[in-house]
Order: sequence, then C-alpha cells, then structure tokens
Amino acid sequence: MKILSVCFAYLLLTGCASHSVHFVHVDGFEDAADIDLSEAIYIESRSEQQVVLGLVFDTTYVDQAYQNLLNQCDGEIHAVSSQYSTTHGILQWTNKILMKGVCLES
Amino acid sequence: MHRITVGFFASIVLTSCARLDHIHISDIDQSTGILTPISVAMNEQAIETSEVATLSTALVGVLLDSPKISENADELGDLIHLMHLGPRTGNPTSNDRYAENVLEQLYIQCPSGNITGLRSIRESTTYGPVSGEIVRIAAFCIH
Amino acid sequence: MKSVWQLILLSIIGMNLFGCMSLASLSLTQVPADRNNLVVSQAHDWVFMGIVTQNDFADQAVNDLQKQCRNGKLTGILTKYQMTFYLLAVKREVVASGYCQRS
Repeated sequence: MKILSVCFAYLLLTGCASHSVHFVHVDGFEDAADIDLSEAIYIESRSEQQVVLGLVFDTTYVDQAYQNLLNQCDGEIHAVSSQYSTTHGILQWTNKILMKGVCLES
Repeated sequence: MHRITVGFFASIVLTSCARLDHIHISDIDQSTGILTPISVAMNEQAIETSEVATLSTALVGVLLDSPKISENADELGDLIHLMHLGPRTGNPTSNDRYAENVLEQLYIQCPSGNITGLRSIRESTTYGPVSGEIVRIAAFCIH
Repeated sequence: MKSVWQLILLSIIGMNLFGCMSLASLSLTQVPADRNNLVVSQAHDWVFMGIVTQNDFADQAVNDLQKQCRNGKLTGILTKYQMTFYLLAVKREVVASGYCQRS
C-alpha cells in the first residue's frame, strides 16, 4: 500500500501527459502543377474540445477549425491536411484538430 | 518457476506485431507523367504505462516472493489507466506534435508539389507494451 | 439510501437520453476560392448491441451531396464520421459539406 501511495503521488506530481494521434489525412494536390509556390503561404488552424468523464454532445470543434482555416485565405486552399488527436488526463481528455493548407490568394 | 515467469515476460516483449488503424487512398493520375514513389513516415515511441506498471509490479512480487506486492499489480495498472482516460489509437505517446510537419516533408521530397495517389496510413509496430506509432503518407511524385 | 439510488438511476437514464458523441474520422479536400454555394448532407444509421450489418448509409450521404450539385463540381469537401453512444445503441452518422461550382 505504501508503494502504491508513493507511485500515485509521483505520477500526480509529474503530470505524465499522454497523447494519441488518431490519424492524419492529406489531400488536394490535383492542381499543384499550376501553383507558383513562391506566392503561396502556409496556413493552419487548431481547435480543441475539453471532455470531462466522457460527456460530450457535439463535434462542432471540427467545424470551428475548418472555419478558421477558411477565414485565413480568400483564395484556393491546396494541399490540405487534417489531424485528429487526443491528450489524455485524469478523468478528462482534450480532443484536438489541426488543419493545414497552402493558400493561393486569388 | 522464476525462469518460466521471466521467459513468459520476455516472449511478450520480444514478439512484435504490426497493426493498421486507418488508411485512405486518393485519386491516382497516371496520365500526365512518370510517377516516382515518395513516402513520409513520422513515428514516435509509445508505451502502455498501465500494462508496464502491472507487469513490472507482478514481476517484482514474483522475484521477491511477496504475494502482497503481486496482488497490488492490477490495482496499480487500473489506477494509471484512469489517469490517462480518453480515445486512443494504439499506445499513448508523450508527444502529440510528431506528425505535424507532413506537408513540409512532402514538398521536400517532391518540390514541384505535383503529387498524386496519396495514401494516408496510420499504423504501428508493437513489442508487448511498447510500440512505435507511425503516421505515414505515401504518394507518387509526377515528373 | 433509496433516494440516492433513484438519483443515480435518473442520472444514468438522463445521460443515455442525450448520448455521448465521439469523432471517428475526418477528412478535408482542396478548398475552392468561390465559396458562395455551400451544400450539406447528412446520413445516419443505428447499431443495436454492436451488430452492424451494412454501411449503406455512407453512400446515401454521398448521393445526397451529389443531388444538390448536379452538373457541377463539388470541392472543399469536409467529411465527418461521428458516433453517438447510448445505452444499447449507437448512432453512426456521416456529415459531409462541400462547395458546389457550376460553370
């Protein structure tokens, strides 16, 4: 029991964050031959959703990340990548979305 | 008895498995040029801490001949598992940024950016409670 | 003691009426400059006791999206595959949105 308490205290103090990257999806290279990369800019957007005890009723954080990405570019967005990951915690976790792309202003 | 226990744990650790979690295949255009395969793989060491805690506590209990320590093995594992709740793909890693530079790496391998046949793959190689979590993007560069 | 059990039971029933949602899959394709015509489609099915017999609902989401953009080009497609967990059932849902461009 003493060993358990010591281990628990150690883990609590150190934090011991753990993460899980679920997948990364990449697409949108179809018209790449026509793109002048010197005029293109990298854009990215991130969003998070805090979940406590598994109680979550929507996935609007995905739409938020998407909208943030669109707001950064008035032109076309090529080479889009979307990553979904989770940061684990004590009785709660954080879902994260990262969307990146190459913006070509019109 | 000790040799059998050590041998059992060693066999778990030494036997490796591969796992495929997610795959997406994009359009493949073979009509506009010669295709050269390219691949970007980002990996990170991962460890199932609750399993390691359970196994190591049980092993310590066996080696020290202490049933009291062995009894606490499962409890310790469950406690650690509760401290890392949430959706998982594979074993948890200590870093969630290892796969963020995928686009940049693709452009390094194919500077024109003229890419087709994109395959987004999430896989891992497991060695008992330890694994290598891999995000791999394979494609063809059109010349 | 009885009231505590009643409270716990009510909480479980309440949580299962709302359900807990999780994101299973996400994808995004190339986004166009012209984003005036947004089309959205949604399709779902129910899975009881974990028994899945078919995935046709996913094709339905694609067909609905196509119907809203006949003779046009659909790009910037955001696809979400999400699941809502209830006590004995799971609702699987595909939500797809895209921008329709007609020449």
